[in-house]
Amino acid sequence: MPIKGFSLIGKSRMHLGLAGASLLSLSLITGAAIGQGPGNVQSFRNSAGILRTFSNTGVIDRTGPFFTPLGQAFPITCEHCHFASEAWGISAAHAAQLFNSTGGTHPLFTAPTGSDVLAAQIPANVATLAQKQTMYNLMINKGLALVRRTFNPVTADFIVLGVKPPAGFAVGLSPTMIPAPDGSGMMIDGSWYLSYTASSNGGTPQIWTYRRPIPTTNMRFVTTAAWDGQDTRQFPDPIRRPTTAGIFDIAKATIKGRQTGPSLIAADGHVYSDAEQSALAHQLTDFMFSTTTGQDYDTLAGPLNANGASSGISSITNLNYYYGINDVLEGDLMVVPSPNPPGVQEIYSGSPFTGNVFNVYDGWNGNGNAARASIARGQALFNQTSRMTIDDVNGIQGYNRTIGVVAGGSTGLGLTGTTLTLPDSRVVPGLTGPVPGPQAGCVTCHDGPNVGNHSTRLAINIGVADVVPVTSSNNTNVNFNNSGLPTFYLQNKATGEIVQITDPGRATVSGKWSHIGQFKGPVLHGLVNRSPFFHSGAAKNLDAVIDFYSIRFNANFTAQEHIDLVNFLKSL
Amino acid sequence: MNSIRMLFTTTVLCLIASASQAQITISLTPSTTMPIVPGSSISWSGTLTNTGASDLFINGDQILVNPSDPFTIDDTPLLTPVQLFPLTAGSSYTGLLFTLTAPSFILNKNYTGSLTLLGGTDTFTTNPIGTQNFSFRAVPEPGATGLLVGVALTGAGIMLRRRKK
Repeated sequence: MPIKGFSLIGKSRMHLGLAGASLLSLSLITGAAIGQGPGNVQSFRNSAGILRTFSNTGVIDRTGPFFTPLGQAFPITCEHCHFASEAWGISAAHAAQLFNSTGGTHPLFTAPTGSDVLAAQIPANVATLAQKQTMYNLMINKGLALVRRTFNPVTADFIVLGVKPPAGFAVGLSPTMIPAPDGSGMMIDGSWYLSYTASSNGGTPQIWTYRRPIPTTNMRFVTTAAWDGQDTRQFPDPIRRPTTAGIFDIAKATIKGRQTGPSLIAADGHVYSDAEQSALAHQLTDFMFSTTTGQDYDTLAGPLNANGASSGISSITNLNYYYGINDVLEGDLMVVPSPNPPGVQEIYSGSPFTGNVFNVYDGWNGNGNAARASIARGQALFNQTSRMTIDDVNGIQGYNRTIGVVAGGSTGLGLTGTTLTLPDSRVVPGLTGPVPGPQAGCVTCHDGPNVGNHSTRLAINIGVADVVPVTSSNNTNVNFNNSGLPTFYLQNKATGEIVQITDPGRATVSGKWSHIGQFKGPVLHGLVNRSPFFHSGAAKNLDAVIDFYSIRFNANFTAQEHIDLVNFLKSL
Repeated sequence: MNSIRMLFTTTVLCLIASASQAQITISLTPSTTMPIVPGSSISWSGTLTNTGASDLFINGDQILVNPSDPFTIDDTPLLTPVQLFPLTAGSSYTGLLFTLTAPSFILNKNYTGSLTLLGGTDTFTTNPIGTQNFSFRAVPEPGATGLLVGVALTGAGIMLRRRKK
């Protein structure tokens, strides 16, 4: 009996063990399902409520390279353009505050962020506060940092005829000046400009533009790394060129371009090897992919995941997202391995594009709380697919949009037919869903479900880079203007056509005439924290953004609709 | 590894905070290790005292829990009072600070955490300006324990019946 009993107890133990293991498994599975809750968060108050960042590594390690000066040449760190409190970007108001409170000595105001990286390194050019204000005027006024892009004038479709530069450019020098072709005065000769920029790049010409730093968070939703698609755009295949690779390239280029300069001298005095740069770039990339950020609490509406809503940081962290999800052009697509030839291919899930891009506030429709109801109405407006007249948009339409010149008429989106040639030159089947048509809406370009960027690498020109954008009132509109930006005069080598634009955008990278002024659409989470908006900081606030879209695409939002849309965008 | 990383990070934050001239001391209540059952919450109140000579804006915070199981933390009470924006020099604020909610299933173990206030003398700065640790212990929910015992006894009973047959 004792033996039997022992045996019985032994088996019971085994069953108990199994039962316990089952409970443990259930616990772990359930925990994972609930998981990724904001147990480890950074929270920041802002004008709309509270912004939170969740780190999937548990802690945000401020001893890492993102927060550390990596070179001797310039004391700036990644954080100086990417503050956690501003959704890992920087507001122009913060840039101005940093300049004013430090007399321009903050590391943000070092040569790589100025109007001219060469001129800013000459002490005599930035000796006084007024000179510094001039050199860094675009960062102070619009939160814009210098972006230097290698440009091949031989292979490009166009030549750079001339440039009217921003204040601070080539200060102290005597550039060759020629008359601007539109009779608007003098401009720097394009050959001189390219020769000058080449002197900072080992003899290879560059085009210098000025853009808003892109948030270094929510990277798993990002389909195009830089505004102009540099680093990811060259490779249309998203698997062969994943966003991680693009971010890695940007990180590695930043180590040299913004922190060490060409010398590559580290903060401790040694010269970085390529392997060291790569190791640091990997750390930076991993860090940027480790965080998720979004608005979590609205001052008037309360928690953004309460009372039927499902937004907020926990929801954002758990969002289902993949490259090509709900694409407006192709329908929902997935990327799968391709055995022959080896690589990958895109396949279509069969699900058509849906305009219900955002649904996190469905539960607040008609809510008794006025703020919640307003956010829900704003979401519904954002989702409308028949509110705007999408016209004259280079990148999704069958004709080129150029500045002041529209070749062709409003022929619709040109998306029907058996095949469709995408901006990447990929030829894909025609639409799987309803044709968005000229009558479309916000979600036509912001199709990423509950994210709001574009789920493929669609770069478009909607006119934000125009020298005088549609709502800028000759750049005298204090809430929407491109004042202070350079004007590039570009001439088509084949046709002789000349256009002017403040930033060539994707054309800088590709050299293609048809890509002039094209930019990506960013992830919308944490939007309220990082004014001004658009790549050029043209829109001072979200009101100006809505005004632009209302006029540009003939939406004619009412005053109440305007408020609702702004409240919705603030809640993301 | 997480423990080491958290200890290191907390130490660095404390060092940075102590090096800063602007300081807020934090007194948390409860200050002892609190029990928490799955699905329930613990709220920490406290007193924040600005011991510096300048007004300090509490612009944000970081709350860490180790091990980082899927707890939900609501620090809204800490980031909404107007008295903390700014907390004037020499003054104190007492009130609810944050609430931690445990998931429905959780293992019995001890947890440590830290609350770090982020802010400065303006509305933009987010330097560490005060840190305080806290702790709690996950304990089994009576119902869950009963369920576990029940499953075990049921299993044992089935085994006994099979033996008898």
